[in-house]
Amino acid sequence: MQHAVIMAGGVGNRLCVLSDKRAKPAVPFAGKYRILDFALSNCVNSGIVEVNILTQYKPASLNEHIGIGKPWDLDRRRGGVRLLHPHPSWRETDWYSGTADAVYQNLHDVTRWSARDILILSGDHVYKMDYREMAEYHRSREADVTIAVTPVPWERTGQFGIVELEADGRAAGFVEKPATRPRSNTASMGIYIFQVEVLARELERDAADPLSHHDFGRNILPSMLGRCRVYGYPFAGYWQDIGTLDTYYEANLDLISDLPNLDLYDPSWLVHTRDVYYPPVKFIGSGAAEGSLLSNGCIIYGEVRNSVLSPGVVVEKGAVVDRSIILNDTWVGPSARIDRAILDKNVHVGRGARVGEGETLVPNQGCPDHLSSGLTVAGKHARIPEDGVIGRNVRIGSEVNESHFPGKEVASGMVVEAPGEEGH
Amino acid sequence: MRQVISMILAGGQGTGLGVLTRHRPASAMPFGGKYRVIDFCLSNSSNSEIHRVAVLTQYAPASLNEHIATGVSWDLDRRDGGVKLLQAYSRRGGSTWYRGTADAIAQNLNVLENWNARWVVVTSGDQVYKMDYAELVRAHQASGYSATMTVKEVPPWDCRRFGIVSLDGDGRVAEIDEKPAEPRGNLANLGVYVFDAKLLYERLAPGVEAHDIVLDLIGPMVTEGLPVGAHVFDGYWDDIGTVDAYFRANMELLTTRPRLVLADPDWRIYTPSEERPPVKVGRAAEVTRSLVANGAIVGGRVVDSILFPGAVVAPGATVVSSIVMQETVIRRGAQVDLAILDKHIVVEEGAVVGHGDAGGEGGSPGSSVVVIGKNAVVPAGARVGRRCQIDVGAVAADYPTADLAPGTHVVARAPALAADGQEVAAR
Repeated sequence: MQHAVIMAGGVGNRLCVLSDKRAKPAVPFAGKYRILDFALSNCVNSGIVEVNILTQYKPASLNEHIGIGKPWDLDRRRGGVRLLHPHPSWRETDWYSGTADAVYQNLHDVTRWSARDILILSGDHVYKMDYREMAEYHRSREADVTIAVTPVPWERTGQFGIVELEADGRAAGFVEKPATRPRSNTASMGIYIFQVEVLARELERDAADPLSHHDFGRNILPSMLGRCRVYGYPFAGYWQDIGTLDTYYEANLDLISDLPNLDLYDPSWLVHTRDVYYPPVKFIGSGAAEGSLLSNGCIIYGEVRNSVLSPGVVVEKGAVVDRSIILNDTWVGPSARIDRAILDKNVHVGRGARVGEGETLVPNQGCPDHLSSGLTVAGKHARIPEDGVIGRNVRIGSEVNESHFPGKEVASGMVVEAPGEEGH
Repeated sequence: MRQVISMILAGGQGTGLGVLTRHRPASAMPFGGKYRVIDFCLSNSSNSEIHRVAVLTQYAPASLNEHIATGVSWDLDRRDGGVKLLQAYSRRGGSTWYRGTADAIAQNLNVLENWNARWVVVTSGDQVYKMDYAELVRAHQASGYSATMTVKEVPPWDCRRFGIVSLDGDGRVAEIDEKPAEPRGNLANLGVYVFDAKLLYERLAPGVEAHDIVLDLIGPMVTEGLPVGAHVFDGYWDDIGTVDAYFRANMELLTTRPRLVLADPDWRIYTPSEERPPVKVGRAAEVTRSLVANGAIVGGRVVDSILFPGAVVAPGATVVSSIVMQETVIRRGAQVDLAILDKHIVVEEGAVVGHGDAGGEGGSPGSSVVVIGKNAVVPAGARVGRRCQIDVGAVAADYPTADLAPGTHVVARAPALAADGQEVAAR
């Protein structure tokens, strides 16, 4: 199996400021990677030579990150990586209305080579998987479509497409985001191998249905049950849907533990990413770190504890960063204190500022459902004033500067937004 | 810089580096936590918009070949030109290895012709410096001379390792005094030249016996009264031809404001990415005043040191003032002080590398350094004195005693043999 389609158009609303300026798969992860690197590296490591990436929401970061695909060896004369964005054309094409619609609008482009099977997957998940094993399983069952499935905690079954499997792996039931407790806790991973002919036929069928949402999980797969040979391929490895700020935070910090769930050190399964050409991490003067992950290009004069730092982060003298995730090139000023925070790229933390201060936990006013566990977040390019005191569950929007702050203190749960940046 | 090419002389072994250059040329020496020394010349070329780069190799070129590959890391994988690896080759009528810097160029004049080169920047691949060759070439072109040397003012105490250049009233080279016992000036020849290609075709033509650039090319020109220009360079420059110089150049990077800035966005030093995860610092670990590359795992104490990707310092281990290369593991309780550890070394539990008085008689730290070759093992509980050298692939059985006196050289006896009887190559 040599062809794959990756859905990378998702908004990722529950990731708050992290998805303000970028599609979810472009969200940085584990310091130097982006979420999409996992699916993309899995493809390449599994011998897939043509990868079509379907973009929609704010693809600029993705486009720049992927480039011509060199880091993944996908800069090829035939095949390689292509970014497919919605576009008007002589056919009826428009913005993608659902995952199946996205593939349908590009069906001609993604099935140009005569291949029996095609892999369709989401670019939103963090995991390592050899798709060749799933392809073998798919062929041995002579399946029309095979869905990769994995057990999830019962209390989270409402967030997934839940699949009921018979003993031989045949799918007997499929319910997308069940409202009541389902009969199974086996979730669809959003990874499908379709026979190309079957895919084309089912997408045509679905396109003609005006009541359909044109979504694989909601429409295509449930409709195929009974009519077609639908199988579930069980996967038991680490798999994370980084859907919320809390899961994002936990998944990153888990990598600091002695035996993290995700092994990034396997030389036989490298996670490839775009290189940013920085020198090694430099510790200067009394700069120190403990229990942390730091990427090349970081310059540490202060203290870093229990944190994950992306490339180019500078932590000045006297500053302390604890239990936090700091993205690329952010500057943490002298004597500043950062605790339980997620700071996006190029954030400027003024001298002496305290981010994540106090014990009060009021859910964030702007997004109470997504920011209530005590994390404080700051968007890209935000500038936090010198000596500012920022509480917990605070959301500081992208492009905010000192003039947007009502005062030096920002109470727990507050939102600081730059005009023109909110609600987009 | 369309008609300019650069030639990087990367064939030298660098015998002054001992076991570190047993299986690689000096230009392939790992440097600064993630680079190789040749990255400086390659990046200088590419940043100077010179996209035709000939790398002349000779001694054990495998590491270089793999590192440079298609040249993609320096944007030198190009339709027209790019990087060319030129290994000394045999021919009819007698094959010779490159007999010197001028001979290496002479044996590759055809490359200059094929590339339609008008000017050639010649540099040595084992030097660490950032330089805009375009500036050098423009100065050369403006002078109208057919050869230009690059010179730098060096402190009087350092003059004796250079060719010291004296200039005449017009700023042209009047004399070059190689490694003088009594230097008469302090302008050092850096070994970075620009030549008109035409000059090289004339003076390195077949039949001419020219081995060394200074002795057989520039020297005679000066004697004959032909003008040779001197371009003054005032940036950081060092060659890493001895253990002491190599150690010093690396440790310089640990200062608060190093003279060699690696993070300069206007003049990046490129190298292939090893695609490793970020640095992992454990719970009880301590890292101070050090350079640590992605892929390193620090569980113990690291001070004033450089760790390359894949270096592992176990909890309870200590590394001070040392350079630890790829995949080398320092196990629990081991102590490493003033040492250069090549790749794939294991320092077993409780071993002590570098103990006792260091830098006696005003010597530099670099002169007390312990050097351990690739794939070697330092057995558990062993004590290795200052300035010891441990051969590539040495194992416990090769150690004459567990307590090595300063300056001991541990020789690896029979090299590891594969089933077909061939010596197993070091990685």
